[in-house]
Amino acid sequence: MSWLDALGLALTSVRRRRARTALTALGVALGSALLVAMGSVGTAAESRAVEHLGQGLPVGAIKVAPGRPAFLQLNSDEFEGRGAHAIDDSTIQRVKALPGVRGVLPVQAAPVIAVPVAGGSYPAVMLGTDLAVGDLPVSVLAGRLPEASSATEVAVAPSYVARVHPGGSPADALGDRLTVAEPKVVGAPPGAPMVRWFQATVVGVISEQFAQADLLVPLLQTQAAHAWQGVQQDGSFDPDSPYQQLIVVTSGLDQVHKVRAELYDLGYASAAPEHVLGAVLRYLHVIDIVIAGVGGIAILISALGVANALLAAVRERRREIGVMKSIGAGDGDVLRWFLLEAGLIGLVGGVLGALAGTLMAIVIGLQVVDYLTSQGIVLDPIKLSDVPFGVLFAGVVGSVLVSLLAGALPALRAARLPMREAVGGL
Amino acid sequence: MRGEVKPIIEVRGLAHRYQGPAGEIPVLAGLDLDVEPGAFVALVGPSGAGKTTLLAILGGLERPQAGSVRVAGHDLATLGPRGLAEHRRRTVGFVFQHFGLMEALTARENVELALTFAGVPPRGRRARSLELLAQVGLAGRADHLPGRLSGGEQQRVGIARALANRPPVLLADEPTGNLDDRSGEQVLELLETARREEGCAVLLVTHEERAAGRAERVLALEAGRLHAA
Repeated sequence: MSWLDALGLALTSVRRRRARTALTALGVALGSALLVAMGSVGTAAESRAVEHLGQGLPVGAIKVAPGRPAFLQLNSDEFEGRGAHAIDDSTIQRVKALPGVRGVLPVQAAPVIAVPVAGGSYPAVMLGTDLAVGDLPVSVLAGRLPEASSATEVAVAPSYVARVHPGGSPADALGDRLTVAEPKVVGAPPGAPMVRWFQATVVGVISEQFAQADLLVPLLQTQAAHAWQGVQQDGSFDPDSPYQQLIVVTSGLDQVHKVRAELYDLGYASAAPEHVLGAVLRYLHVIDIVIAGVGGIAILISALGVANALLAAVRERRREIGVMKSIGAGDGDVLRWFLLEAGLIGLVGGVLGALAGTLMAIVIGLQVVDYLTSQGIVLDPIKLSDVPFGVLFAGVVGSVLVSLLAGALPALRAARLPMREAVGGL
Repeated sequence: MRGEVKPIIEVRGLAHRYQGPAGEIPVLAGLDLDVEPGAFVALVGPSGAGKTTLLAILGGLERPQAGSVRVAGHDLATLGPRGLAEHRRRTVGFVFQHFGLMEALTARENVELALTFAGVPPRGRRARSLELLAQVGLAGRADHLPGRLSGGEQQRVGIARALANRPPVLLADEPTGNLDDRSGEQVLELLETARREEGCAVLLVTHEERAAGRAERVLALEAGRLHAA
């Protein structure tokens, strides 16, 4: 009997005992669902932790300040500076050349006053960066980023939308016009500020998490502001630095500490949530182990269910097995029949479990997000794309393999059943 | 004339015992049997005489413990598990008292199953099974599940399945035992027809005189040996 014929026979058997098959497959589905749900929640928790602690920057990003690092810099996630050290174009080139660095993004900040046409001016931080760099670590909520060479385009943060379009969506701000005023304080003691301004059009709304910017503009706009204002910023770092910050994107979390050590050697203070992230990831890893254990136990229980159902099936089908052998089935044919039946139950259970597990993960994720939101922590809920393919694959294939293993003993028993005894009435 | 034809079944000195709770129980004790191709032989005898055991040994369901058993030229004692499976596929066809149909398969699929084990391709299986079902008068019931067929119809499907691979020997164990007189007659008629048209030898185990009366030769099994009834 070919495998295809055996599969047809197994399918028929499975269809015939619908209630028992459904219950057994449900047991497998439960185990698989638990595994998929827990795996997905664990993976999503890890990515959300990285995302949240990275403050909107990509995984493995490091912020570099125009200051020399303090002795204990590498033991801290925050900037620990002890004097000025300008960041210029040569710094960017040297940092780019460091091993483990995937990209470097120069950032300039300038204090401005945003004056929307609708009224209600407010003080803001205008951030300039090289918008020609692809794959910017900026979340665009609506519209697009300004063109790299534009002197009139600006992207705003959700704080702008909240002020100018209360209750509106980010898209409502697109096309708005606003005046950006750059104050300059002169004289000692300081006199009335002088103001340089430019008219801008809102082309996009970005996540506020990007370096706490209110307005995002091309680098040339902040360079002009600096030329006008002189640099005004945190006194602990270099006030004359051409760039206020670099965002260094490493090739992965495991590279962060090495790159920070290199930056230390280059003489720059840096900040990255490596220690807190490491602690959180270690904690999540422990949870992953517990989850895998629970999932494994669930799969084991479902395997016992499969074994039990198939042993019962062998008892029930003694005569059938005997008749099959009397019309020419070999031991291998019977073995194949029962193994395929076990595999089919595992496949059905695994697929159902993977679907149910995905749903469970999304529902659990929503509950967790609700709770965290009530605690003041805003996170994205679990989406379909958060469910790792590997976990789904493990859920389905694992269920099939475990069912095959569980079905091996009943299948062997069926194959070795003495024919005369099995035929019964003969 | 009979002496010139080589028997399809040759049994010499067959002995068989079962292990009972109180020790070994001899069932067959030096049994001899010759059955010619196309013969119709009825085996009668009291319950427990060993009729079914003899059929099981001839069908390759059980191994002979002593003596020699040759069916269609094959010494069954020398065949391994694969050889015995092949023997059951091609040399013998079983007809059971309990019909032995797979409840989940239709009449046609039940007949096809025997052809599947013999390695017949799907198209050939279908044609042969429909031909056989037509021969046993069930052409219109090919797609019915056994549960939707009467006992007589189920047994006719069983006969069609037993004949699927054109075996030279048909072993029937009380094939009319669960049937009413009319259905029983139809089944015996079919066995007779199979013997006549397919040329297979029929070995029929029965308690019924009416069924035994159909056979050319009636042998009684007593004290582990056969003698003419």
